[in-house]
Amino acid sequence: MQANAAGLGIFGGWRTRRGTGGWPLFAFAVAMLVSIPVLVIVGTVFVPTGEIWSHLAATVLPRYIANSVWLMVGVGIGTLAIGVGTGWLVTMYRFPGRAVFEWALLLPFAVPAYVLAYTYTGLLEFAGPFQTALREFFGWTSRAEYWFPEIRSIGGAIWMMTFVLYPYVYLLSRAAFLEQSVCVLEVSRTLGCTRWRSFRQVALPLARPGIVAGLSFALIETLADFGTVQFFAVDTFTTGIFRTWIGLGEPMAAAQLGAVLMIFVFLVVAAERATRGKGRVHHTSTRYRGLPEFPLRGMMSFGAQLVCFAPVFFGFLLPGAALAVWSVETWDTMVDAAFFGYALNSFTLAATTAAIAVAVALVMAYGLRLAPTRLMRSATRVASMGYAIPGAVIAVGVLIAYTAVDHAVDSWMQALFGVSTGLLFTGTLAGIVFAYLVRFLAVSFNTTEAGLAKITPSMDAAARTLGRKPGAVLRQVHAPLMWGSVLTAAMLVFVDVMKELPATLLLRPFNFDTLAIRAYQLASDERLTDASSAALAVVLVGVVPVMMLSVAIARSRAGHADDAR
Amino acid sequence: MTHDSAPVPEKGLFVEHVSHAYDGLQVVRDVSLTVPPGEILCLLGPSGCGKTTMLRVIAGLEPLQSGRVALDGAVLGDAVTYVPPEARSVSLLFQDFALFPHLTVLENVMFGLSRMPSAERRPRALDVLAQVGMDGYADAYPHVLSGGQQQRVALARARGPRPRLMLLDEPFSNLDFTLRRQVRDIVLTVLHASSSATLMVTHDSEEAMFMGDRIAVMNDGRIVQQGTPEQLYTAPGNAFVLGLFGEVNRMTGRVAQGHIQTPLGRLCAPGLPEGAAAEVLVRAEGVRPDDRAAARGIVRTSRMLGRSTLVHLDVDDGAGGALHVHARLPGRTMPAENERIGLGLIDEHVFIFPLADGER
Repeated sequence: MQANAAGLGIFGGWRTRRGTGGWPLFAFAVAMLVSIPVLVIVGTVFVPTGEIWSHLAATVLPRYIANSVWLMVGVGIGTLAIGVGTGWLVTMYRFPGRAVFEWALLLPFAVPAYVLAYTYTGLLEFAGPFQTALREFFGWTSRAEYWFPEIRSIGGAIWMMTFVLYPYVYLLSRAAFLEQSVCVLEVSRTLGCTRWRSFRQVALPLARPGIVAGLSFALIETLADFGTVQFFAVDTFTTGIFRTWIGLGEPMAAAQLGAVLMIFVFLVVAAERATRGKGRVHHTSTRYRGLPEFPLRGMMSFGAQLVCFAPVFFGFLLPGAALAVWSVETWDTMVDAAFFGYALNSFTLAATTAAIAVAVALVMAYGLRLAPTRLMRSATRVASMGYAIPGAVIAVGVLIAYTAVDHAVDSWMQALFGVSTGLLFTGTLAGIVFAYLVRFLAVSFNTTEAGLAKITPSMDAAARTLGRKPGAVLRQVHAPLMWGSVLTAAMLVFVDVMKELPATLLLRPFNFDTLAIRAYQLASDERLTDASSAALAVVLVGVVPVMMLSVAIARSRAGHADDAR
Repeated sequence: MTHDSAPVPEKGLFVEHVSHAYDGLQVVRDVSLTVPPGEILCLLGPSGCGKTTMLRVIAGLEPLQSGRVALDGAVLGDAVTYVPPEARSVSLLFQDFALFPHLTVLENVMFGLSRMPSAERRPRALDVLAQVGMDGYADAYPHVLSGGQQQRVALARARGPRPRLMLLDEPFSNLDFTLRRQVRDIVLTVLHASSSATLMVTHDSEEAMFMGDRIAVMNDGRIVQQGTPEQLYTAPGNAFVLGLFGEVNRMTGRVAQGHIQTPLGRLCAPGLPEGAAAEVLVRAEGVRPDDRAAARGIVRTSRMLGRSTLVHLDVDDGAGGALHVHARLPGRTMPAENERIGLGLIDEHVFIFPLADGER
């Protein structure tokens, strides 16, 4: 009997594994691959670089740290003020245009920070239309006669990033305000709180997890920014990584700077986790009613409109209009065959990455559904952490890994067959797509997993007992039900790749330019109006997902009203 | 390999010595049961007792770890065999209905008919939909249907392929009271008209008695008692089974001269050794007013509950305290509050089980 039981035990184990097939193995392999760049970066910390590092530490490191901290403080305050303020206004008050602002406030999402930086520099620099108009109006002739703020400064960088990153805070705090039971707010009013006090003491603390999550996204993007700070000559880790790598030719030291940058990212993530864990917010009432929508009149209404209009205007309308005008002006010289070549390159990279990212995400999400083991869960978590890691860091990690692999394969092949394979990964399309995958797999994975989670497990059981094999269940039940989220995932990755700058800059094949690279190069050459067509193309592609997000929001809003009835 | 080679019955569901663990946690322990064709067996037990796991193992959704499952003479799962769920001729009815939201009612039913010649699918689907009174909704999508209607469609979908075994997983618990009674009626009618064996999982004893030809009570992964609803009600094997079928008053005592002294009187305890600890369980409907009885209680509240009246009583426990007793009286007898009345017991509702010492 004992032997029998043992035999069954082995069989049982084998059976369980047979039921899930190779899914966990695949997920594990993906997780390992995706974590390579991070492991490489962490590994370089232990490589002694001697003088270079002490030189960096003594000269530039304090500046990088100070600039990064100031950027985070400034962008943090800015995005919080704009995001929470507008989020509260559009959810709790009624004023003309509110329905439009509700989605229009997301539009700046479509503009990469570096595009905004190029545009505002073009508008506000000495030769730009704004200062020219001022001089004409007042009759000044030289820069010495008047004071004008320098846009290419850390303050300017903070403004640029605030305008494109506040939608994170807006989106998540608005969702948090919407989620709150109005009953809780009403109770606070009946207990004698004024409207303002209810906001401060009830609504704000309840929405805190959402607000903090939005803020952490904005801060991670701030740390990852390369285009803006590079253009404004504000030295941070990302520009330092480039200078150390390309200027000084010190890949190890560059990777070590990346490691220090990752500590900052890690601190942001940890801080977000900590606030979430401590003040765990549970909504005590499950009664949700239509929000009160307090109507605003007169000056109050005008003020609310102004507050909501300003970020949309400065973050999207004004720069969009400027880009459009410049594009038309420079159309004949800039929009030529080469331009469409860049567009095709961008499209090829973005579409390839999106297709692969979604396919990998689907397999991982499905594997997690079939076998939600601890190994599987941690593998998927590792695989989807790339989003928090700045593109420049991933690029450096990937490059170091590629160089090592290429050298190893090359010398191995030469020793064995006398053939030189040259560079297989470094500077190839495969290499750059892999780096994008590392960075954006989380986007596709989270989206597809959320889509899959909405399908109840009984659905699988029903289809199985009604005569379908697992593959057929995926095809006939899951695929049609999650088609929408798969498309969304593909589109999000597509747009992210279109906008990506630092990783593309470091990893692209020789002479392989994308729209983002083209805009960057022209802007670096101070040809800001010439850069407009490429920049505008990137913005226009970015508008698509923002529009979809807006539609989704408008729909959820309608549903909210329905529930109330 | 002691029992694996033994022949299995030619008809119906046959489950033998099934045990199952999740991550080392034993949830099913050595369960055996049979369901002949045309019979409905209810697995009754509290949540977490392992009954849903049994259902999933039998359906093949959970690979069998040890034991044997057979249907109509063919082994579906044992130490060497694993027939996947799609090849088992088993249909499931779920608590959350699990209709495919992207398919119409008709397409949902036809989903299970893929093995039929295509010309027969549509008529068969419409036929089973008519059996549950849903043929008028053939082109509707599930989300426009009420919960009761969805479950009727799910029943039609499950019946469509003429499965040899129907498995029902708490199928009525997502429906409100009135709908539940309606749908229950339809399900019972449809199942009785078929020759499938049926296994239903529920935590509601009234539902189990309504639906089941037989009931198997599960607790902590084991089957503690099997029998007809009547057998389980009139002769529960232990306090757990008794407690599932209605409200009981619990008292403890020791056997002295073949009797146990309780606040509700001296009761005969045949078959128990002298001095043994025992628990005395009296159903609420087993307590009735009796002026001749020695036990007395003070009425605290009387509540009319429709078909019966529930009376809360404080009975002298003989040690200076009061024992709270519930009495369920038929009809509209409503003793006045604070009235002191005599209390008698109805023998068929009184059960005495031995207690292990220290377990009082």
